[in-house]
Amino acid sequence: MAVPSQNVSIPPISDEDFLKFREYFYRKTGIMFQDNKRYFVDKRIQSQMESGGFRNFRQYFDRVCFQSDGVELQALVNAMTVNETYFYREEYQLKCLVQSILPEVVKNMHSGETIKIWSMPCSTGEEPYSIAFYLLEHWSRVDDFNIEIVASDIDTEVLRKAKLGLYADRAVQYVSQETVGKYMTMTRDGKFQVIDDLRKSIKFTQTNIIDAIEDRFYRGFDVVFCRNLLIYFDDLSRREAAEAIFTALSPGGFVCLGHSESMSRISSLFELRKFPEAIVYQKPA
Amino acid sequence: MPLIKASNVSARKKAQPVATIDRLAIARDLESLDVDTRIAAIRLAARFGEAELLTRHLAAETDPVLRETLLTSLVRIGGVRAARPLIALLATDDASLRNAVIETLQSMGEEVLPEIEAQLENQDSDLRIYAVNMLLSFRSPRVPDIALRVIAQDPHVNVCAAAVDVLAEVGRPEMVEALQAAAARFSDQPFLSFAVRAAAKRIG
Ligand SMILES: C[S@@+](CC[C@H](N)C(=O)[O-])C[C@H]1O[C@@H](n2cnc3c(N)ncnc32)[C@H](O)[C@@H]1O
Repeated sequence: MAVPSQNVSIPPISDEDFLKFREYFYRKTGIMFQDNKRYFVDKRIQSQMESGGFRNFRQYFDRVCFQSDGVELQALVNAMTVNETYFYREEYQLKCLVQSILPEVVKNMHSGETIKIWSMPCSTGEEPYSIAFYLLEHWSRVDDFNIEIVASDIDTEVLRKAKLGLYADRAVQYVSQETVGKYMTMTRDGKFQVIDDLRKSIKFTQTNIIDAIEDRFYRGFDVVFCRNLLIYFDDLSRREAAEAIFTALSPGGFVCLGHSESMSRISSLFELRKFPEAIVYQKPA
Repeated sequence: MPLIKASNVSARKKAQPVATIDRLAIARDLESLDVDTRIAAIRLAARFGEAELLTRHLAAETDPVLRETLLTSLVRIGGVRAARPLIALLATDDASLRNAVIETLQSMGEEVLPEIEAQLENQDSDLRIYAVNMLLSFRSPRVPDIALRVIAQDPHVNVCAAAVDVLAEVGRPEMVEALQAAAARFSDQPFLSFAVRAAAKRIG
């Protein structure tokens, strides 16, 4: 039996091509691959080349760079991004949201007004759904306000999955059974799907956070969750992302970063806010 | 059950094509009194590579945070296109702006080195000193030779002294002779001889 082997048809990626690719991808997405990611990058480029029937890097790379509808570039972005996430990741921040952040956000609001929350990047949806679950379960004033959750990512494939809201039990292991029972239904093959109403209530959109053209539609948010994205960026892209978030926030709005991420070396745009549950950043009012 | 409603207005699904952005509005928004409007305009200007527009605004921008944003944007534009207008700003009297410009140029990578090198011909010795001081941040193999040319030719002792400092870091043993020649050229300036001796000791 003929076993299709990558090595037969797809030539290895040369050092020069790798550098060229890295620079291009960085300019497009802000993501900087260090040398130790070389193997990962090469494998994914080769698999994209193979599935698209390209015989050499040059031919493939030309297509990525110059194709007018950007389909090949999008496929590449989808293949290169690290989408790992799960429900109730860094739960202390969700706690902080309901116990400290939102009470401050609504201090001068009237019932019925709108609170806007942005989950960016949202990956396969665990984060925005976690926010929704948590608000519904733990915020006593959830019914007093009109809450909008927008969830965005650069990767179209994860967005498709996010909208579907279908998860293996591993993804929901930190969510109580009671909560799962309320907001998810079990499918015949033992997976969990977020109930329709909740899925429809979150707005999923594609965006590239470091592209000023795309993110100019995102404005007026009270809280932005930007977790586990900056770790893939270099300092310059981090600063650009910080600026994008800054413009997306209302004055006095809050940013929650991942636990290993910090604004302190990145940007002086924000003020540090120490709440009992977590340290977050705030746009000056 | 839908306690959480999606908004129809908050975010449009896909960005509009570039053509619909009014570029004149960007220049106008840069003058806005509203910080949010200004920062958004800066980021859009950067997206379109408008280095000159941004640099012009840099001198007028009073908010330190926005200055930082402007400089980030210029690094992103990068290359000669961003370096030229920035270099033109080196002559400013505003020391903090100048320092920021220097730091920005230094972070821009080797491709702007020729632009910095061109400043070594500038009439103004201060500008030549800034240029020499920037050399070390470009990890180019050409840096020692550029500094060598300065110590052989530049008529100003402070410019030469800055170049001696560069050579103390990256000079090669065969450059010691040229260093000593520079000290001899300014024999009435003992501080230069001192710096030359120290540099020669390090690289010799
Ligand atoms: C590790 S996930 C983080 C998901 C979630 N926020 C969490 O903390 O679990 C990182 C996500 O960032 C997305 N991403 C990478 N670069 C991006 C960019 N320039 N703009 C928007 N999203 C991006 C990736 O597609 C990926 O889904």
